[in-house]
Amino acid sequence: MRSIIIASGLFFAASAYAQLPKEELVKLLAEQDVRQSATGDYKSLVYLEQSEKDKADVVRELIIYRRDADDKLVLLFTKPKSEEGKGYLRLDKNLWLYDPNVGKWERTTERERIGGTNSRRQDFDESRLAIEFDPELVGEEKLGKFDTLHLKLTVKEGIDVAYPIIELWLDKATHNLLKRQEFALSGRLARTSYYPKWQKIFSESKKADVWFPGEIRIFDEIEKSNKTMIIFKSVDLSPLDANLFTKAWLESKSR
Amino acid sequence: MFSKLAVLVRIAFANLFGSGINILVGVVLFFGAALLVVGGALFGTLDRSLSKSIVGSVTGHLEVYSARSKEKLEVYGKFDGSDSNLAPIEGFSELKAKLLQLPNVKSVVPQGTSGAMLGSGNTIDLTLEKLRALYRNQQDPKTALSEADFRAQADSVKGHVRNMIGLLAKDLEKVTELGTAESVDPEEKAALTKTASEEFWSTFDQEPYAHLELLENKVSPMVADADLLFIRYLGTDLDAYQQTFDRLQIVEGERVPKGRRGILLPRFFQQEYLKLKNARRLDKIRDAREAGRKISNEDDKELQRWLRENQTQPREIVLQLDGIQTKQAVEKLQKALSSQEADLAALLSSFFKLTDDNFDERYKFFYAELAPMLALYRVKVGDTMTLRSFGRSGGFEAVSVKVYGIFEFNGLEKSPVAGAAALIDMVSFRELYGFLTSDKAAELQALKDTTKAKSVSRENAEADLFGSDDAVAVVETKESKIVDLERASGLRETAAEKATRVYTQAEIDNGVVMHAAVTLKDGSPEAIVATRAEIETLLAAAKKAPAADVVAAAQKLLDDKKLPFMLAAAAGPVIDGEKQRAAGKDGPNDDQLIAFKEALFNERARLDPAAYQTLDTLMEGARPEIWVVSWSQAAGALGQFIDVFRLILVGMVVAFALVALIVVSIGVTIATLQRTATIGTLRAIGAQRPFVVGMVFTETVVLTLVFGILGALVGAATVVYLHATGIPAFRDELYFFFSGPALRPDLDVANLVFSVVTTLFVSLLAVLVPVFLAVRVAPVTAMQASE
Repeated sequence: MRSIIIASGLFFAASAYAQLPKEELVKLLAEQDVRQSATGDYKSLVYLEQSEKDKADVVRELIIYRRDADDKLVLLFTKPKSEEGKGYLRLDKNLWLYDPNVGKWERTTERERIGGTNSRRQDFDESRLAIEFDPELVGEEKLGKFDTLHLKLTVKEGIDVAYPIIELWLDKATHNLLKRQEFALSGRLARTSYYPKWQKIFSESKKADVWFPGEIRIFDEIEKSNKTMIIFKSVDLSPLDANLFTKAWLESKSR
Repeated sequence: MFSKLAVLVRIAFANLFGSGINILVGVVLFFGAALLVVGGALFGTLDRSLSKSIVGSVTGHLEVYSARSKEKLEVYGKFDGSDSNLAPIEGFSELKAKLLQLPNVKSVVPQGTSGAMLGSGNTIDLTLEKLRALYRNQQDPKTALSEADFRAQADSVKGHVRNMIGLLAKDLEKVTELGTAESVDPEEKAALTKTASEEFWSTFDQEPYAHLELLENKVSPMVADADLLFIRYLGTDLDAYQQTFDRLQIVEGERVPKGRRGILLPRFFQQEYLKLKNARRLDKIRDAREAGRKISNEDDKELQRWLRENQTQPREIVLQLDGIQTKQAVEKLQKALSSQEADLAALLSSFFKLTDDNFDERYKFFYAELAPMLALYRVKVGDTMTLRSFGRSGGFEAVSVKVYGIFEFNGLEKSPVAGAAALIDMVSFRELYGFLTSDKAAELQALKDTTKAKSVSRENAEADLFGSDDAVAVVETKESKIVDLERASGLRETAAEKATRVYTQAEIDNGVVMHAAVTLKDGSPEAIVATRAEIETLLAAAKKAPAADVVAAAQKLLDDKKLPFMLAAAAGPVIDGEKQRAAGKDGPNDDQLIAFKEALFNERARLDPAAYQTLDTLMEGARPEIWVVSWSQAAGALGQFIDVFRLILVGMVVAFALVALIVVSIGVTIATLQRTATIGTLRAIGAQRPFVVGMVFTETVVLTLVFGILGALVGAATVVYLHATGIPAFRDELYFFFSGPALRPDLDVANLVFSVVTTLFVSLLAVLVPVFLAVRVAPVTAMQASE
């Protein structure tokens, strides 16, 4: 009898999610965005490592600078020495790459492999899931010990993103993002990412916590032997230089 | 004896045209001999031409590369377009000094092949980059121009930008007129309105960078990006290369000065990929017309496509011109076309409506009147070119190098193969190659160690990351101050410093070298073989003595027939060679070792680990540090064409021999049977069997010599004719095989002798059966036959 009650309870709970209207799903996405939004300025020290079969590992350290209110982002590589001063600058829809070895800027695309790894701009930038995607619920699934909501997201018209279709697995209890799969337009799976550690910091300007993934593990689904690891070592929410999100600032770092 | 021979020869000549069968056999021998002479000359010359092309442009006579390499050297790249996975040569300068001690070695030129992307960006990007550089340089007293010069240059570039904005605004108007205004992005419209305004330009100097960023981020993306270009390059000691490969000819610009960084671009690449597309199409149409093709021929799809594309794609030209130039171009085109049209794009479309009648005039007009206002090439001599490559230590590497000149190889002007790779200095090559040095590796390891990240495999990812109870706990954390990178300038020279620095020979030689071309004083095939053996012996001196137990274990594997056939065939000579080496004699040669290495790699999945380990240890002990290979081996698939030519030649000889054997054999047998009565009579009047044998042999020899020599002479005449007229390279790809615009087969006396001797040999072989039949003819049989 008890098991029937539990089973019925689970069934109704599952049904409740299965019947989630689209607005509720959008709210779930917006929750992800709001949690990670810094409102004020945001700076993070990041370790990036890519392993590929028969190749030396790519290892980098970089600082992320974000001003979410203006949709601005700078990625500045600080280690190893040969990479020092290289960086990316996002202004509006443009993602610029600067290489101090040649002192030149190059406009890249959303599909740019950051620092030659399988990471993309969006892995370091603010979350814009609710703005960029339309969600639908796939169902409920078990992921390790976690009960998750499995969502399928399709990019909205006119928005350029690295992958037009993504699937998310959110912890039902906490709504933490645990797993993310990204697909090409053809439907081919390109990357699977895991978010095993979430951290939060109280922000004075936001008057709330700013969430960030402690680490992201990315597995390449096309070159199966390739994997990438992003570790967010620390976060600093102090105000940033007003001129930081300019080409001149990034150039000045290596002049 | 001689009188008997004279009689036999007289009989042979008397019977030469005595029967139709003889004539048939003669004709076969005639054509066979002619074919051998022409074929031999043709393929022999092709062999020499291809070797001339490869030896004279890249490989030299021999190539050396590290024996630690995972793959074989293929200087032109592998079939899939990628480069061979080579390990760098360690201690190149010592190797070079060692090789130069050999009397026949003339030079050793370091090399490395790879590929890079050419910096992209559309016309507006490139123009804005110029403007940004002007303002940036003006801030630095070292690079600042006088105020007047700066103003003049800045105003000119700004004028060009304003003109482009004007064009984009016109496009927007057209879209609105067409009623498709909803497809216009309001942000784009606002940006165009703002940047087209007087106010924007009048305040430009107050905040140049803010203005530039608006243009770069809002206006520039409205124009489609230029094609992304991929370029292959050969990194080398440019000075040594230019001295060694004397077919190299600078057709524009100059050689790269000794010790300087720089790049030389192949003319073929410059024309095909860097030239303004409209101009390039005009050139192609001109070439097609010179080759007899007609614009009026609507079935000539390629020609029609060039014509159509020129008419529909004038934008590249329109965007290049500033306001004044646009006005001038419009005036010139209005006059030339007798038109009142004011729109440059429309005028250009009319101008590119070409016919067989107006082509020459318009081609001339384009280059005389319009081209001087245009940048005909995306990169020109004197420019600095930015190359980006995916480095071996991960991540993109970029270098900027000055384009000193445009080159081509004498005779290979139109060859896509010879014109595919640019030549770049060794220092820039190394930067692009991004080799992971031990210092860099240690730095990366230290970074990894400080992070102490746990490794997670794909298979166990979900269990490892989400399987435990404490997984995905949200941790409250505190802010920690992140120290900004102050400056990254101490690590690298500036682009200007790099451009002016003169590198010493030691700096060029000491560093990563992937392979090296060895040119010889005597480059004859025999001398190449001899010098290669000398180099192998020289480099083998550093090998350690063979390990007897390993050799014995390998021998046991062979004896026990535990190795797959191909591997056993390759291992045998190496094991024998190692035994020889242990006895103080020469060990296995490089060809044997390379074949063994390949077989071992290919069969590794079928071997048990212990057997693989034994053979791998044998290989490691037997191999030298450096492989030395011939130019044809180094050329990879291209070099294998030489083997194909040789195979075709052998195939021709074998096919001829078989046909001749059958025809001569049957022919002479029939002729002999037809003469049974004569032979019987000869026997009856006292002719002995040797006389009859001699008669049949002599007749065959005379028949073969007469028709064979005639055939060889006709073949020789054909070769002389082909040499004089040349077989034209009707496709650009053939330039490389022909080592020039035409193949001129050389007449070789050895070919003549070979064709006659082969014909004679085959005939004599074929005549054995008829001879046997002839000697069996008894006088009585002959008489019965005549009754």
